[in-house]
Amino acid sequence: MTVSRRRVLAGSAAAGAILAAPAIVSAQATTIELWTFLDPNGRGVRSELLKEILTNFEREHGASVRANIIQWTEISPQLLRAARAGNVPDVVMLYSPFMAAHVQAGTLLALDQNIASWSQARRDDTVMLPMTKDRKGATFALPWELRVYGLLYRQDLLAQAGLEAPRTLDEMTQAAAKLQNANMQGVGFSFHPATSTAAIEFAMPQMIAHGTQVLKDDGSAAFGGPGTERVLQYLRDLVNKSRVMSLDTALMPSDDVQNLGIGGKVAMMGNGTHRLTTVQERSQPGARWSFTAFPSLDASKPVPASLQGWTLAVPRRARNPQLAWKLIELWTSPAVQKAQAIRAGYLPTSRQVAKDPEFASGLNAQFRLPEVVEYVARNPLNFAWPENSDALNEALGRMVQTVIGNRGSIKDAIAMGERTYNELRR
Amino acid sequence: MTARNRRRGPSRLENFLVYAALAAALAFALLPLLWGLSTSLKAQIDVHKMPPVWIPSPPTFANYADAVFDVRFGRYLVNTLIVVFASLVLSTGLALHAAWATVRFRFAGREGILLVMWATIMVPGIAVIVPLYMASVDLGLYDTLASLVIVYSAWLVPTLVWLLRGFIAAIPYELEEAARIDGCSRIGAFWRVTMPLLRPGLLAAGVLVFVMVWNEFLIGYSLTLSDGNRMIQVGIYYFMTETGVEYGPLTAAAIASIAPIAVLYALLQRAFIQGLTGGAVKG
Repeated sequence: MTVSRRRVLAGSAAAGAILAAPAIVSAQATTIELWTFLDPNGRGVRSELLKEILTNFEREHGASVRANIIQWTEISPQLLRAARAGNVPDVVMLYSPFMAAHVQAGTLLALDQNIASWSQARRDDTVMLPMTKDRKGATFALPWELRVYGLLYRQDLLAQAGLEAPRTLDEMTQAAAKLQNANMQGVGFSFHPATSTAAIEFAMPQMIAHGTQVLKDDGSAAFGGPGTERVLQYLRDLVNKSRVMSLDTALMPSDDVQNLGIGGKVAMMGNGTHRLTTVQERSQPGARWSFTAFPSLDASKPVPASLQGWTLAVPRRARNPQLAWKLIELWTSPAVQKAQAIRAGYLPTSRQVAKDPEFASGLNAQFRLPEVVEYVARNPLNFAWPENSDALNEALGRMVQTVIGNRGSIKDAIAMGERTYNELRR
Repeated sequence: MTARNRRRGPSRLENFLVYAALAAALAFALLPLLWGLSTSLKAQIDVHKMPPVWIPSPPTFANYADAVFDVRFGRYLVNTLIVVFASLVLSTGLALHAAWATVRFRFAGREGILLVMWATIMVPGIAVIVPLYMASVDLGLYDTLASLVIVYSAWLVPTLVWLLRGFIAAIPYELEEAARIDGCSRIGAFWRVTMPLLRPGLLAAGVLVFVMVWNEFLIGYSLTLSDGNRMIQVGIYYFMTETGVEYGPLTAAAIASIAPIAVLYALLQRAFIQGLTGGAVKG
C-alpha cells in the first residue's frame, strides 16, 4: 500500500483537529484569575495539592479559578508589565525577595483590613514576612509556604564516615575532604551571578553574622569589613587550598550543582528546603538527603537564617478582590498548611502546624525540618531587603567569583562588588 | 602537475579526511538530538545517573505521556498552527504583490525601497522587542495571537519579497503581455498567468515561513502572557521549574515539537533548499 503526500498532510490536519479538542473549555459565571508557577493539572504532589485547594475553593464559593501558569522567574516582571497594561490577575504568587519592588511600585492592594477581620488567634498563628510590608507597616502579601537556605547533605555518606552534620565551616571542610573521592566532590555551592542565589543566601548571612552592614542607610553598598574578608578568605581556600569544591562547580548555575548532587557527584550542597523533596525523589536508591542550617565561621555565631517564601497578593485593579482574599484565606489556613507540610514537605506558615507532631514525621523527620523551624525562630535574619535584590545578588556573586578565581586581593574584590552594586541599583 | 595526476581520484588519505570531517559535522549536529531523544525515554531517576546512560533500559514513554498528551501541549500546538498559517497567508500575500511590483514596474525609489527592506532583515529581533511590546500594549493587542501574526508577518515580508523576486524574474514578462493582449487586466494577468507558474516559489516561501515561525521563541515569549495564548516553543520553556529543570518531559516535548518540522522537511526538502537559494541566484 502506498501513502501519498496528500494523505499524510490530511492525516496531520486531522490529528491537529483532535488535539485541538481539549483546548475548548467551558466558561463559568464568576471566574477569578490566579497567576501561579505551579500547574494544578501537572504531576507531583505539589500540583495535586494546588488542585485540591482550588477545587475546595470553587466548591465553597461557587466560583471558578482560572490558573495562568507563568514561569516562576517571570511572574514578578510580568506583573509589573501587566499593571501598566491594565490586565492584572485577581491573585498572584510573588516570591518574597521581589516583594520590595512591588511595594515600591504600588502594584498591590494592602491586605490589612482583611487581616484585621481575622481572630487574634489566627493573626498570631500566621507567619508574616518583613519584606511583604511597606515602611508604614502595611501588609501587601501573605506567604503560603516558607523556605530556608542551608546545607543539603548526604546523611547516608556522613553516617558511613562516622560524621555528624557540620556546624562550623571548618567542620564542613573536614567532612568534605573525608567524603571526597575520584567520583565525588566534597561540597558544591553555585555562585553563578545570574542563576544562583548562593551569594545572597549563603555568603551574605555569613557576612552579617560577623558584623558586616551590607547596605548603608542611603541604600548604597557597605560590603567591606573584617567579617567579609574572613568569609571570602574561607571561600578562596575552599576552592584553592583544601580543594573540596572545584572552581567549575562554583561557577555553575544552581540547577546544575543540584543535578551533581542528584547524580551522586557532590556529597553536600547549598540549597533550599523547598528542593529537598525533588532532590530526594530524583536521587539513586540508597541516597538519604538531609538538611541543616549553614555552618558558620565560629560556632558561637550561628548564621542568621533568611526566611523566604512564595506569597499570595491581590494586585491593584483586580476585578474580584474580595473573592481573591477568600482564596488567600483558605490557602493560608492551618488545615491547608498542615496538608502541604505533611504531604509535600513545605515549611508551614502556621505556627501551630510547625509544632504538630505529624509535621515531624516521615520525610520531614529525615530532612530535619522541625529543627529548621526552631533554628529560624532562634536566628532570624534581620535585613531590610532592597528594591532590587537581583542587583545585590549579582554584585555579591561577582565579588565571590573574583575571590575564588584568585583574581587579585580580597579588598579589591570587595571594592569591585560595592562599585557593581552601586551602579546596578541605579 | 601532469594530466595523469589530475585525472587521478582522491587519495585514501584525502578520502579519510573528507569522511572524518563529514562524520564530525554529522555528530555535532545529531548528538544533541540523540541525547535529547535518549533523555526523553529515561525514567526520572535515570536522567542524572553518573556515568550517563546512552540507551535507556527499559525505555519509558512516561515523559511523552506527561508532556505531549497533556491538554496544554495540545493547546500550544493549535496556537502555533493558527499563528503559522495566519502568518503564512498574510506575509506571503503581501510579499507576493510587493515582489511582483518591484520586478515588473520601474518607479522612483525602487532600489532604495528594496535596500531598506534588505536592511530590516539585518536588524536582530532583540533590538526591537521592547518597542514591539510597548506598541502591542498601547494598541490593546498584547497577549493575543493577532499580535504575533502581525509581528511575524512584518518580520518575514522583506525576506519573502527578496525570495519571490527571484522566482518572478525567472518568469518571462511576455506571458503576462500576451494575456493582456487577450483581454486580461494587469492584475488578472498576474493572477491567471504568473501565479500558477510561481507555485514552486510559493511553496518555498511557505516552508520558510513555517520553519521560522514554528521555531521562534523571543517574540512569542515577549508578546504573550496567558497559558491560552502560548506557542509551542514558549510552552517548552515552562519545564524549567522552580525546583529544577524537568529534563524528561522537556526533552519529550522538544522532540515532539521537532517532529512536524522534520516531517515537513522530509516531504518538501527540495522546496526548502530552493527557498534558501532561489532568491540568491536569481534576484
